[in-house]
Amino acid sequence: MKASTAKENILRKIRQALSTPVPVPFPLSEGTESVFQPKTQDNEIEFAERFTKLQGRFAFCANETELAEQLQILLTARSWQHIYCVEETLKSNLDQSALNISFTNDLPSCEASITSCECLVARTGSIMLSSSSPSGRTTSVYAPVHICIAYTNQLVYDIKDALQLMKEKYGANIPSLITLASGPSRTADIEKTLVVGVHGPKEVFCFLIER
Amino acid sequence: MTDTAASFIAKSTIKAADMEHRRKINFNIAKYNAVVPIGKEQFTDVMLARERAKNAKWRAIENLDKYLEEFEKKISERGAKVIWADTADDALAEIGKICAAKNCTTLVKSKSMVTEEIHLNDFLEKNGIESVETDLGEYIQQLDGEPPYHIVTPAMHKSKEDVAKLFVEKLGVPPGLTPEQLTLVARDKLRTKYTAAQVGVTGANFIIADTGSIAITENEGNARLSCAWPPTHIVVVGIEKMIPSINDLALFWPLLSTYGTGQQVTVYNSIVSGPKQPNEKDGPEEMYVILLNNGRTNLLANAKTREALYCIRCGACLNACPVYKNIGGHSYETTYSGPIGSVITPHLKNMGDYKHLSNASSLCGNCTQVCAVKINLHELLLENRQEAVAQGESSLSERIAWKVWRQSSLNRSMMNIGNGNLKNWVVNKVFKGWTTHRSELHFSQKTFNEMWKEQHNQ
Ligand code: SF4
Repeated sequence: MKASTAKENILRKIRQALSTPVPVPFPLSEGTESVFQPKTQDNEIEFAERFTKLQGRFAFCANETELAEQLQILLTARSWQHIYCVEETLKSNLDQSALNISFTNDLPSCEASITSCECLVARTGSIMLSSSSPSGRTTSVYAPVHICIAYTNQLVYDIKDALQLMKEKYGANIPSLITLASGPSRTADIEKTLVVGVHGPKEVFCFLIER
Repeated sequence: MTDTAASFIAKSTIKAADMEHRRKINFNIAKYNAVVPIGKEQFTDVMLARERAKNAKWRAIENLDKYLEEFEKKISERGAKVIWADTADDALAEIGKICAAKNCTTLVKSKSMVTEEIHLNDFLEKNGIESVETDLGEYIQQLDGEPPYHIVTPAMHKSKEDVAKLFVEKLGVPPGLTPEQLTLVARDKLRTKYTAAQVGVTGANFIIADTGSIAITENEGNARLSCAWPPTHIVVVGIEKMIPSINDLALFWPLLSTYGTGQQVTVYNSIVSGPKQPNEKDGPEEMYVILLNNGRTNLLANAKTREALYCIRCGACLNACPVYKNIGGHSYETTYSGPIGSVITPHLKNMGDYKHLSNASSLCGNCTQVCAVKINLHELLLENRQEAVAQGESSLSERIAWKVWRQSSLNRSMMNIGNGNLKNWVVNKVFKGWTTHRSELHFSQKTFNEMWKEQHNQ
C-alpha cells in the first residue's frame, strides 16, 4: 500500500511542477541527420582500425578453415588448456575443423572464453553482445580473455544501426542485457594511468570471418 | 552564517593553500583536457550534438510523469519490480527490506552517485551487511574511509604513491606497487565477491521509457558483473535520468564518454531490461528498480532551475571549474561537488544550509561553456543566490566575506601574501560561525611557498 502512496506523491509533485512548461531549448537543432563522422571506408577496415586502437586484437579470416588455423596458433602460443565455450553451434564448428582445443565447463578457472556476438559497430570498434546467446551475461566479462567470433555480414556502421538491428530482431522481447563492449576492460582511476584488465577481460580478440 | 557554510569556508581555505593537492588535481585534469578533443573528433558538429541532447532531455523532463509510468509498465511486464521512493529514507527502507528477505550478508556495488546521496553504505553497515565497492576508484575510497572526491574519478586527489601506501596499510601488500599491480590486487580481491554476493546494486546513467530499460556506462566491467552473478539486482536511480527512447543512446553514449573521459565510447555500455528471462542462461532471478525523488521535484518546480535535471553527470563542469580545482571535491561536503553540485544541492537538501555553495563560484562561466548538455550553470548559480537573498538569507558582512574568500581562494599569489595572519582572520573572524562552534583554527605563520623555500634552501 505504501509503495503506491509514494508513487502517487511523486507523480503529483511532478505534475504540479510541470503545469508550468518550459519551451524547447533549441528548436532549430531538431532533426535526424547524423552528428557523427560519416563512413569513409569499408566497415571491415574501419572496425579493424578502431578496435585495434582500443587495444583489441583483430584477425581477419577468409573462411572457417583460416579461423581454425589462426585460433590454433593462438591457443598453442599461449598454451591455453581451458577454454570456456557454451555455444553449441560455435563449438561444433570448431570441433569439425580438427582443432585441438581442450574445453572446460568452469568459467572461473578458464584461460579464455569464446562467444559469438549480435553485431559489430565499425565507427567505434565495438562488439554488441546480448544475454539471449547461450553465453548469457557472464561468459564474455568474467573470463580473463574474451575471444569473439564474428562474420562480416554482422558489421554495421554506427551505434544507432546496431540498436535498430536489435529492435528488428527481437521486437518487444529484447534480451534482458545488451552490452556494447569496446575493447578490453580498463581503468584510469589511479592518476589517470590507463590499465587494461580490471574486472572484465584483459584481452579481447575478434576473429572476423568473411561471409 | 550556518555551520555548513563555516565548515566549507574553513576547509576550502586550507585546501586552497595546499600545493600538493593542487599538483595532483592539475595533473589529473591536464590529462583529462588532453583527451577530450580526441573524443570530440567523432562529431561532425559537436555543438549540434549537445543541443540535440539538451532537447532530448528537455522532452524527457517535460513529460516525466508519462515516461516514468511507461517505464514502469514496460519493465514490469518483463518481471522487474519498480519501487517509488520519495525520500532517501524511503529508498533505504526498501533496500533494507529486500536485503532482509534475501538473507543478504554480502552485497556488491558498482559506482553510483545516487547511492552516495542516500548514504547506502552506512545504512548497510548498520544492518550488518558487507557492502563491497567494486569500481576501482570507489574501492580505493572505501578502503580509505573517504567519500568520492569527484563524480567520475572518485580517487582523483590521490597520487599513485598514496594508493600504493593505502594498499600496504589496508591489504598488507608489499610497498611500492605500480598502478598495474595495484589494479591486479583489486581484481583478485573482488573476483570472488561477485560470485559470493546475494545482491548486486548498481546505479543507472539512463532510464529508457520506450523499451522499459535502464542503461549503465562503465569502463571496468564491475557493473556488468554486479548485475550478472548475484541472484538479486537492485538499481537505484534518480527520476531525472529519463530519456525518451532507446534510440537516444546512440547520441548520449558517445556524448557522455567524450565529456566524461575523452573516449569515443566507454568500454561497456549496457542496457538492462529486466531480470533473467525464461529462455536465458544466467543473470539475476529478480530485479528491483528504485525510482528516487529526494528533492528532485523541487528543482522541477522552478522553471528556471529545471534544466539542472538534464545533467548526465559527465563531470566536465567540475574539471573546468577554477574553484573546484583549488578547493577540491571534499571541501563542498556534499555528494555532488563542483558547479552542478552547487546548483542542485541547495534544492535537494535545503536552501538555508547549502546556499553558500552558489557563492563558491567566480561566475567565470567555464562550466556553462563545457557542459555536455548545455545547462546554463552559472546562470543557475545566480538564480540560487537570488533565491537565497529573497529568502532573506544573506547579510552584508557575509557578502563582503565571500569577496575576500573568492580572492584568496582563487589567487595563488594572494594566498601567499596572505600568510597565517590573514588566513586566520578570514576563517576565524570574518566567518564567526566557525569559532562560535569550534575552537579557532590556526594556520602556519608562513605560507607554503615560504616553507618550501626554507626547506630547500632556496
Ligand atoms: S552539469 Fe553538464 S558538465 Fe556538469 S556534470 Fe552535468 S552534464 Fe556534465
